[in-house]
Amino acid sequence: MSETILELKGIRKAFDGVSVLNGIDLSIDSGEFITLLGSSGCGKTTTLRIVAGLEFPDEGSVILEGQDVTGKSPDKRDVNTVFQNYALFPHMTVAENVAYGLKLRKVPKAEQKKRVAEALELVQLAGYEKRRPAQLSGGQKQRVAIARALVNNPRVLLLDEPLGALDLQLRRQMQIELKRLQKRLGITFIYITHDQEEALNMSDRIAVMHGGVFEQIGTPDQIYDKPRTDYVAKFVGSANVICGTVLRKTGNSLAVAAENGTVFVKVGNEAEYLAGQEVRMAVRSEKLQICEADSEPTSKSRRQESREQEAAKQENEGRGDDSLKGFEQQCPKTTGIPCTVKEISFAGGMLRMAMETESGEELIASRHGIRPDQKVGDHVLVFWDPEAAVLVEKSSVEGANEK
Amino acid sequence: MKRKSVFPSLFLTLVMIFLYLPIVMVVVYSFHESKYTYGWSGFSLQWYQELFQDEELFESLRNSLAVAGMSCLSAAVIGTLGAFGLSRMKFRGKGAVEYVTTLPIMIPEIILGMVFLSFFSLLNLPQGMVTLVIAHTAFSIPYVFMMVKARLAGMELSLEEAARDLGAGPVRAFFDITLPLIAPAVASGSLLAFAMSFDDVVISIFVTGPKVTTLPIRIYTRIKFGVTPEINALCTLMLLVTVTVLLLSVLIGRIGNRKK
Amino acid sequence: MRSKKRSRVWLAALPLYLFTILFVAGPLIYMVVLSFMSKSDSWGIEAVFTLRNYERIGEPVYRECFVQSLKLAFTTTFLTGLIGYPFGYFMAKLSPSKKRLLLLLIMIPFWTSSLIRLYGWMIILQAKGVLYQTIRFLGFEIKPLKLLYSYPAVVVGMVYALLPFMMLAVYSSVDKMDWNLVEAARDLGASAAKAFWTVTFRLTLPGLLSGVILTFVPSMGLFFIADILGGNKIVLVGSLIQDQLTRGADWPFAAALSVVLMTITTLLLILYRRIANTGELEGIV
Repeated sequence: MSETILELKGIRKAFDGVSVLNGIDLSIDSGEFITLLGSSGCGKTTTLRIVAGLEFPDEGSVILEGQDVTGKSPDKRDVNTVFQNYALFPHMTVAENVAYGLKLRKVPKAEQKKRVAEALELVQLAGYEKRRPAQLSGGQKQRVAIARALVNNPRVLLLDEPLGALDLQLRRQMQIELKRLQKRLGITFIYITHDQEEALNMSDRIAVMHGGVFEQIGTPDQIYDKPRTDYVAKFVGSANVICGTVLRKTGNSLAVAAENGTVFVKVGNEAEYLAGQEVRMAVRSEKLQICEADSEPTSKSRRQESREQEAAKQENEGRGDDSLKGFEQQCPKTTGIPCTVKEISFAGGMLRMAMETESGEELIASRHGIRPDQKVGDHVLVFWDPEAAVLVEKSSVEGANEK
Repeated sequence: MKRKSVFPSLFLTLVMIFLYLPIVMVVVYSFHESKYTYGWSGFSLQWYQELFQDEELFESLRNSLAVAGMSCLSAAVIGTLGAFGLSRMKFRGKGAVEYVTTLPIMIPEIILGMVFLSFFSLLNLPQGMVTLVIAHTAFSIPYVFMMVKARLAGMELSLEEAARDLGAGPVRAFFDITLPLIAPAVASGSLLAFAMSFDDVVISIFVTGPKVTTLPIRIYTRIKFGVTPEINALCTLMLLVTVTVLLLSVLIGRIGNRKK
Repeated sequence: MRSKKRSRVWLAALPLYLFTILFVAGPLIYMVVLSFMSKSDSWGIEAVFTLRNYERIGEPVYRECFVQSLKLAFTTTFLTGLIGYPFGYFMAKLSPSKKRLLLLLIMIPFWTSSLIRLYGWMIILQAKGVLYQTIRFLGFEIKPLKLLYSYPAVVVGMVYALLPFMMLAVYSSVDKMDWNLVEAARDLGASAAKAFWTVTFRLTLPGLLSGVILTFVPSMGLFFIADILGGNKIVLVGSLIQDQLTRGADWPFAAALSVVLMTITTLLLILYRRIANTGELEGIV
């Protein structure tokens, strides 16, 4: 049913000697809503512009419906773009803006009129034909830009952060409308955003971009629950990434020594791990559990001794619904990572607690609307449910984990 | 809260009087019955009558209009396209190219005059209309170029890209989108160029031949070699035309604004 | 290397390139070449290398002429700055509608012949002209004036012709200025004068400098003003070049004079770029 509509093969691009895209491969199915997600400067806009024909790759090819269009100028491609700043022609009315593409295709006047009316109807702007872009609100401009692109029945619609300039409420509403529109028309959408929530809400698939390569391509669930690299975990789930070395594997639980403590990760039954092997774990901030440490930071020797017993105990511990409870959970006493609370803050109904491990790494925990039992300066133990942690790879991009 | 000083408005008024005093004098004496420009012996329109019979003056007016028209038209085309092309290109030495382009209005006119005179004679170009138009085009281009460049700098590149994306070729996108949006800058640049060309003495004196005389050159020789009150009349008429055009443009602008 | 397909947008700039190379760069280069050539005994130029033209500029007559030109240019620039800066400053503080009116009033003279405006000054300054009669009217018995065809008359004419450029240059930079900065300075304890000197003046300096260039550079070459209002008494570099081109028929010498003048101009422009940190002259556009 679904066939490939667009393929990018080994795309490379550099500007003034600075490489922006380092070999991008992507295959997009017809009717798919795919999002390129990444922070600014990751190369997502360049990728989009290469698909549109506004930029030409140094290497690689763009294949649209089986035809190589790599060197073709934008007017010779059956794709249309919704620009970040809308790019509505200020000297034309709304109707003239929308009709522009049809006029260039020499569509008869009567049909032009009909299709413009339909397109404006589609974006709920019927009756605005005679207005000028300057007389429209941000949301209305956005709709005109979408109508102007859609009216040409493009095979692929490219959207470059189309909602970036709108306020939060309008953005939420437009997200729903856009998704509905895409489902109804069955047009392939390539959508660019730096907002992970937007990406997770709207997309069929997400391609997380970083440093000119794809860190991971997958469905929103895959991206959210099974991040492939530490970068994806941090960017999409704002997770804590902790490095450690494998102690042993018991069933599907992997014990890992990290930051002067022992923690556990759930892994597949068949997966093989060697003791001493280095691993990275990603745990989202809302999954971190915290309890009061005995007193002073625990000495290393004591911890070492008790590790064995604690490990066994930990595995049997029940996993409650942690989202509504406080930070304090059944305390493992001896395992877990010893930390000092550095900062406690509230933002958007969220309690956020920043802690520092003994080696100086920062860990962030967050909860919805509860009071903290800890105060700044307290010594705590951080631990988590083994199912809450995932093993991730190190991002291949240098400096990936720096902000 | 603070007492408003009258000094600024007084100062502004005095300077404006300084600017307009000579012009007022010329207008006043264009209606003087005598050919002398001092005292006052009575009102008369005789200089206007003589002006309309002054075939020589009208011929030079026609020449000036032709030179200014042609040079401002070619400057508008060359300057606009040039500013557009350069704004869309990135290369080393672009600054130098822009510098040389605007050089004609940065250096004293006398140098341009000297340079053109010697260069045209080197090329064996017969001095006259052609040399006048080339020279005037040269110093008109910078006005158009700089205005259009400034306007393009404020214009979103994505507008053109949107047109390309919707199926317009590069030429079509220029005429459909870019040109209408930079039109005000092209117009004001060309107008300024026209005014400068129409008023130019220094360069024209050097590059023109014996057969073609522009209005400023004619006025120059007349002022230097004799009293000619019909020039006062001519100036008064020119002023009248200018003020009318300016008022009209302001009025049209007002009406246009009201529509919005 | 950059891409397989390059846009052909450079074609748009081609006419400008050709024109600039042929009719701006070409002639200027020829000027430099010419300045090292010799004048033939009769009418014309000989392609013989010489430094004689530059040596001649050192001769007292010509040196004097340069000194006089520079003096006039400095006087003119100083006076236009003295009048133009406060004018632009006060103008920028007016209400928008008054600003528009004033701009219009400044532009109108641009559209009348500058020669005729000079002629207006002749009417005012001549022996029994308007100025003389006004003084008489005020009750002072004086002899007919000897102002016309004198140095002051030339200065008046120069200032008059170049003042609008200074006014517009200063105006555009004051108008762009953020007045909050002045308020911030006052808030931090600066007196009105101190705030003006440390904030307003500093920020509008590019405008003033641009005005200085726009008056200084042309004033070196506006020979016809000296000619009309100064009679034959004041010989500027401009007049000298004109003279060498027409009557003297010594083109190489005229070229050498132009090269020197051009060098002075270029140095000024470079200085301006350094101080103002921009190549664009304010108030032109």
